[in-house]
Amino acid sequence: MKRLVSGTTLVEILVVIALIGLIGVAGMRFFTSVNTSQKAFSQQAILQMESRKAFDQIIDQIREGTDVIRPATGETLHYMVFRDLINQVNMLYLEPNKEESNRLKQRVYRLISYCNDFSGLYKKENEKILHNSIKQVRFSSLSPSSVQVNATVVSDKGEYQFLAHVGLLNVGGIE
Amino acid sequence: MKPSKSRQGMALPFTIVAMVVVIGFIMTMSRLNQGVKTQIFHTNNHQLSFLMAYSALSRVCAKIHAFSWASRPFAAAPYAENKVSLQGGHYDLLVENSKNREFQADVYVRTHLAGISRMYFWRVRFNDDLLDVSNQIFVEAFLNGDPKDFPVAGKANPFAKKVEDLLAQRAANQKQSDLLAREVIKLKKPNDIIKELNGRPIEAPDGSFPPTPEDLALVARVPVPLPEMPTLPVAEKPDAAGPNPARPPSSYDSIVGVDMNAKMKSVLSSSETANKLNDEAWKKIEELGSAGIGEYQVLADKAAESREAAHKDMSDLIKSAQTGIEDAPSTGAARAIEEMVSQTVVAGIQNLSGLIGRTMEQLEDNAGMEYLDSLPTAEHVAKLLNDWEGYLGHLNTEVERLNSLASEIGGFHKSAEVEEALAKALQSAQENRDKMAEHVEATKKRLEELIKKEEEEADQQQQQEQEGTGDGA
Repeated sequence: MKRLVSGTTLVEILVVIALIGLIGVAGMRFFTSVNTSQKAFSQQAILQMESRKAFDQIIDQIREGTDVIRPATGETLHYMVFRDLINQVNMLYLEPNKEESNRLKQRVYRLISYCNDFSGLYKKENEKILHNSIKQVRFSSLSPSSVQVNATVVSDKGEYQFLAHVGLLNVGGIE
Repeated sequence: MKPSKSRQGMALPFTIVAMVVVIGFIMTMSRLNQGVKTQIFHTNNHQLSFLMAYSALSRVCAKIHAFSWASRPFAAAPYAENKVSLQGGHYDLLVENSKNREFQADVYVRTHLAGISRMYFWRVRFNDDLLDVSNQIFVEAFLNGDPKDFPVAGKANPFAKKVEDLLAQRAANQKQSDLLAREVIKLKKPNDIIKELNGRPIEAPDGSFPPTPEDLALVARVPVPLPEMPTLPVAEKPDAAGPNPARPPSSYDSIVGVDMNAKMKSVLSSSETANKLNDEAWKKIEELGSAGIGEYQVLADKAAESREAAHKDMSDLIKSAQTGIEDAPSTGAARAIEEMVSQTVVAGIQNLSGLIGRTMEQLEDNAGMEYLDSLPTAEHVAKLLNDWEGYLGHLNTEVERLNSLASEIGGFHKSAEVEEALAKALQSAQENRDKMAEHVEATKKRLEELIKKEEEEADQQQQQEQEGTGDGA
């Protein structure tokens, strides 16, 4: 009699197992969904971070410049020409990226920086790819020593638009 | 009791499952959120570091404006700050004069934010253009550097050498760069420009996708629309508290220059105080006579302290002014410093000369030649001579110090009124010294007379005593 009272019935055990199973399945689904959305969010953050890294390089490069040659003040262009700290003429421009365009199924471009070192020759080391999948870029010159950069970066997880107002800091030569 | 006992077997599994679910949920969410927060923070790190460094540069520029170039905080030695907290990180700052370059300074800022260190360098040039005071500081060179290159004050600085090399290269490239820029500005198409720059021709877009404005811009100059940006759903704000304008950290005002105004005020204050206390001291004697000696002594001691402080302040001021004059951005600025400083030092000399004059006036009125004549014995006169010789010694030193100050500002530009005031003050001090010397000479003479007289009287008395003794015998 005592053993019967203190034990559990088969039904009770089955109910407990069923409840645990239900909670487990619901929990797993919940975790999966949270994980998926978090991964997407994380990838967006990574896209932003990588884009920002690339644009930080561009900003650093422009900041060390002395003056903007193109666009002229008040003008907006898809490319930019400026002089750097040692008076070399640099150009930032776009070139179609066929491989990335085919992969992403839309036209994307490489953002390239080229620096003329007055040698009179093309040198591969003077050409740098700053980003591989740019949808569009605009350079608006607001003064001879500042420029607004606007670009849209594309990845298979979405687009990220970037805007920065950059002042050229080496203006000592211009008075 | 029995039914409740039978349910004990279910409570435990339920509780454990619930706890596992809740703990698992919290851990997963916090780990994922932390990951995203870290990514976003690292994304902002670069910009925040630059803003921190730019804040430090702005402080340096503000101090140059506030104190003038001549009195800049790093005029005599490099100025350094370490671990200045800002926006959740901190920065180190070093400012020094650029070697062999007039009116130029090198500003090094090393930022530390979330474990990442960066170094920024600015070479700024000060342009003393009074017509445009808002545009006096130009950036000659800005560079991102390796944090390891942050210089130590007083030690060799390879980074400065690198900057010099780059600036030399900039100067060498100037002409070619100007010519190239003139050509580039005439061109419309990116491909023409890249060709002018000896670059690789830009690849043409294939026909796989409909042409975009970017495609068209590669082959012809087309109007470019301004970009449109969607409004951000949530305002992005930094989470660091930032500076509190109501209570700025003390480090914000730690950069100080040579405050010439404060030094000049100090000269006037100490010399005027010395004069005033000396006057008050003598007034106590005039009012209370010998009963006021105690109060006189206290005031006279304070007056002496103020007089010494005035001498020290004047020497400091002249020394600072000489540095400022050497570094002055123009002859006009140098002349202004000279006039300002000489006027203040002459006012100080006048006060100290006035102090001597007041003492001599008191001496002549109450303890002068009449007093000397009234002293009956050589002993009294000898005591007076001792006091007067001591005061003459002090006056000799004091007049010498005043003349020395006057010669230190001898080369400074002065107005005619200031020249005249200086000459009068020095003449007055010299006349009072000479008067005191005359008093000392007169006292010596009087002492000799009294000694002679007392000796004669003593001889006479001795003779009389001998005669009296002889008569008695």
